[in-house]
Formats: sequence, C-alpha cells, structure tokens
Amino acid sequence: MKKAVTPLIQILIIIIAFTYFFPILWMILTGFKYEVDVVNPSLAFEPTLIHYRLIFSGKIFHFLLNSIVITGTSTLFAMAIGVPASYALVMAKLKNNGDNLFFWFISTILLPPVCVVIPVFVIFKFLNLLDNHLGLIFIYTAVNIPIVVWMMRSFFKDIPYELVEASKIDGASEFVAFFRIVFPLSRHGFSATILLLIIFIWNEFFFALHLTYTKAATLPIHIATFMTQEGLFWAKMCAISTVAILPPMLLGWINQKQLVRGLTMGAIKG
Amino acid sequence: MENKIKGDVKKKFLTLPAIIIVALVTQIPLLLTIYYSLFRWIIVRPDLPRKFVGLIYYMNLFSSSEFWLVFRNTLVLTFFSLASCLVLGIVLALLLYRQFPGVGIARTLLISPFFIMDSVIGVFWRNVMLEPSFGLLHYIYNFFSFKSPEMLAKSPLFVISILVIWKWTPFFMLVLMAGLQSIPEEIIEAAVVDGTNSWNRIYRIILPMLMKYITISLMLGLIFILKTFGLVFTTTHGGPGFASTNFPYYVYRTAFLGWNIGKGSSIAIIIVIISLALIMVLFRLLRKAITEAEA
Repeated sequence: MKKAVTPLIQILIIIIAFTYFFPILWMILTGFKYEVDVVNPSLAFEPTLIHYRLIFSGKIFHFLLNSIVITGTSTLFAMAIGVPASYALVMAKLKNNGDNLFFWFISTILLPPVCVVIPVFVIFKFLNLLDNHLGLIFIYTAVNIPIVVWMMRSFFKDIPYELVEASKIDGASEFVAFFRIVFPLSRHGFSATILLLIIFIWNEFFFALHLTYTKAATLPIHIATFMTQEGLFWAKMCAISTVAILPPMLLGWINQKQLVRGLTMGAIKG
Repeated sequence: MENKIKGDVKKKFLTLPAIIIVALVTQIPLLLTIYYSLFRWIIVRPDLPRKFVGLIYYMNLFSSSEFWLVFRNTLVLTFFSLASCLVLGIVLALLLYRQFPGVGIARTLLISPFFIMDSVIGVFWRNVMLEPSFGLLHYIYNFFSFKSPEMLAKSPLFVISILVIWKWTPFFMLVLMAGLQSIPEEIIEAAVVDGTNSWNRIYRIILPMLMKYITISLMLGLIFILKTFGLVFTTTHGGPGFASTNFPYYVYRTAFLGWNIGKGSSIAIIIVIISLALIMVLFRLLRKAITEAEA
C-alpha cells in the first residue's frame, strides 16, 4: 500500500527543481550571446560560439590547462599515498584498531585552512614555490590525503579479512592479493573517492588564491579576477564559467549514487 | 604466524608517507602560526624590525570592535545558513525520496549548484543576477513594479548566506534522502494504518530515525560553511566596511592585504580555538554516529 505521489505534487516538485537550477541555465545561455544582447533578458537571441572560440585559442586556455594538470596530478598523488595508508589502518591490526591514527587524520580535516596558510606562504616564498604548479600540487595532495584515508577506510572495512588471508595462504603476495581481491571488491570506493577529490580540487579557491598569481593560477582564480581585469564582459565571463563548472557537474550527475557515501566520507552507506 | 606478524609490521609502514606529508602541511604550519602571532612583523614596513611582542595582538583584538563584528558575522552566516539548509534539505528530501516519473530529472537539477565553484557562484550572482541596473533580478523587480534594492550594498551578509544556502542545501537533501530511503517502508506504512496524520508521522516517526543523518550533515556542513571564503571574496570583498567580513576573510585582509603577519596569525589562532570548540561538540556526536553505522 505505497502512498502514491499525487500529480499536483509532482508538478510542484518539477517547478521547484527548475527554479532552483535556473541561474545555472541562465549562465549557460548567456555564454552563447553576443555582448550587446546580454542586458536584454529576452530568450530570443542569435546564438554565437565566439566566446568559446576565444576560450580555446586565447590565454584562458592556459588556466584551463593548469586546472586540468593540477587536479589530475594532485588526485593521483593523494590516492597513491592515501590508499596504502588506509589499507594499512584496516588490515595491519594496529593498536586500538588504528582508531587513534584514523581520528588524527580526521582531525586535520577539521583544521581551518586559514591557520596554516600564512606559514605556508612564507615558506613557499623562501623556497621559490609561489606561483608554481608543484607547490600547489603538494598542498592539494597533502590536504586531500585525510579525505582519502577517511573514505577508503570505510570501503576496506567491508572486505572480509579472511578473503585476503585465504589468498595469501594460496601463495599470493600482499601486493597480488590487493589487486586480485581487495581492489575489485572496493572499486566503487575508488571511483567515489576519485570523483570527490576531482570535484574538491577543481573547485578549490583558498590555497590557489594565496599561493598563485598568473603562471600557475587555476580557473577559479582567473574567474574571480576576470571582471576587474577585463571589464564588464558578461557573456565571455559566462562562457568561461560554463567551461569551469561543466566537468564537476557532469561527474556529479553521472555518479549520483556514489556521491552520498562519498560526501559523508563513508559515514553513511548509501 | 611469525610471517603474518612481519607482514603487519611492514604494512604499518605504509601509513608513514601519509603521516609525514599531512604533518608537514598541517601540524608544522599550525605551530609556526602560533609562533608568528607573538611577533610584530609587517612585511610592508621594513622600517619596523621583527620584534617579539608577546600576547599584545590577542589583547588588542579582544578589545577591538572590528573583531567582535567579524565574530558576529561569522556566527550569523554559519548558523543562519546551517539552519536554513537543514530545514530546506528535510523538505526537499521528503518530497523527492520516493520514485515517481520525473524524479530523476528533479534530483539532478536540484543537486547541481553543489558542484559549482564558489568563484563562479560569486561572480555570476554579483554581476548577472544582482547587478542593480541590468541584472536579471532587476527585471523581475521591474515586472512587479518594485524598485530594485541594492542587495549587496544594503544586506551583504544576507546575500552571501543565500548563496551559501543555494550551494549547500543539495548536500543536506542528498544525505537526508539516503536516510529516508533507509527507513523500512513497513514502518511508515504502520504509521499510516495507525491513522496518524502526515505532520505527526514526520515529526514523531521519521525525524527521530533520521537523527544520525541530520547529525552528519550538520557536522560536515559546519566544517565547510565555517571556511566560507571564495563567496565573500567574489561578492563583497568583506565590505562595505567590515559588514560582510567573516573570520577566514579577516585573516586574508590582515595578513595578505595589510601584510601584517603577526596580527593575521593571531586571528588565525583564535579561529582555530573557536572552530575546534564548535566542532568538538558535534565531533563527539559524529564519532558516535560512525561507530553506530559500523556496528
């Protein structure tokens, strides 16, 4: 006797959802307008790809490339260092089940980034790492390792330890056991974690603003400073914004199921 | 057996690289921030040499009205946003947790703002939506023949809160929806048979079963909303005056616009203490929730 959703409520829900999404739609549409048509809110306009052509040929492409390189590399490093750590936390039978170490990792997520950024800036200045891709990649790797540890731990915990043991008795090395048994069983965890890191790093603003200027600046920084540098080019700005928001939005749309467990860091088994 | 113990010791070392890197970027800078906060060090004033001043900056902050305004702004922004996100999140989750035609599209549209970077949200809303003479909201006001108010100048903190709520409500909705879907259908059905009305049912049966999910979403929401920086930077730059400056932006203004490293550091340390106090309370609850989820 499942209570049905009445058609009236269905229509209401669709209207609410559409209204909520409307600013994003408006941004995407504005990116296809000529600058002269921008202040006219009419939907009848002659669409143009002129801004997109500029994005992929001009200097904005440089920032897009920075975003891609820095997000890709940092995600890779954070996984490469964080996954073994969380595997060890679950499987190595540490004191107290590794809980103390685990909660130490979590406590670093609670630390507001403002309380580390000043010394990091001073040290980076000293080491010539300001406005340097490597510097930002290092910071992003470090601040995301605890997130990897937190999330992957919850997935590794679901794997019966006996399975790993059994494969080792059959003669498989720790390494082989990981790739044959553990990885296939936790691949949803891997994709959820990678998805979350890509979204976080791609959108990151705080560290990028403090530690880069132009050479290593990412898209969020370029967009934030765009209007002051280039004046009131709304359509161009909307086109760049659309390029900047599409990757994380598409990834999020496709992976809605894994998102819940990912966003709650595995605290909820979605 | 011996082999196994050796293997465990080896595995233990897999945590080392992670521990070292995380400590390098979080613990050591935190200690340095405390150290800097005890010095007068203004980068743009080479005529004033670095000098140990003790707790002077802390004393000055506690007696400055600017600091208390920023403190108030941070609390208002955080708790107004959190409360609104929770209420809206519960309503949306209740509307969307069941299957019906079109629900997939509705969910997809509703979660979208969550993936959008703060700088795009800030720049786009300030310029294209809220701009007082050509912005979209100006046309909507005009249509109803209201005069469009200069929202960002008159109530900057409120506008920033709205943007935070727009971005974070989908997160609350997603988590609470997962919670609702985990409640067995029979329990809700039993309540229907009992003849309890909808509001009663939501309040007495559904909400208590959602407590764990509410705690987790509030906890993570608090951690992220306390850090709000990009939205302030791109909408108001903390102004007019200090009217929309929150703690993270206050540090930026002091240490990176005013180049006063000592004062900026002392504000950062106060932020750590306040944040940790707030988070500790909720963290206890979360630790309990995680243990329960794993049990």
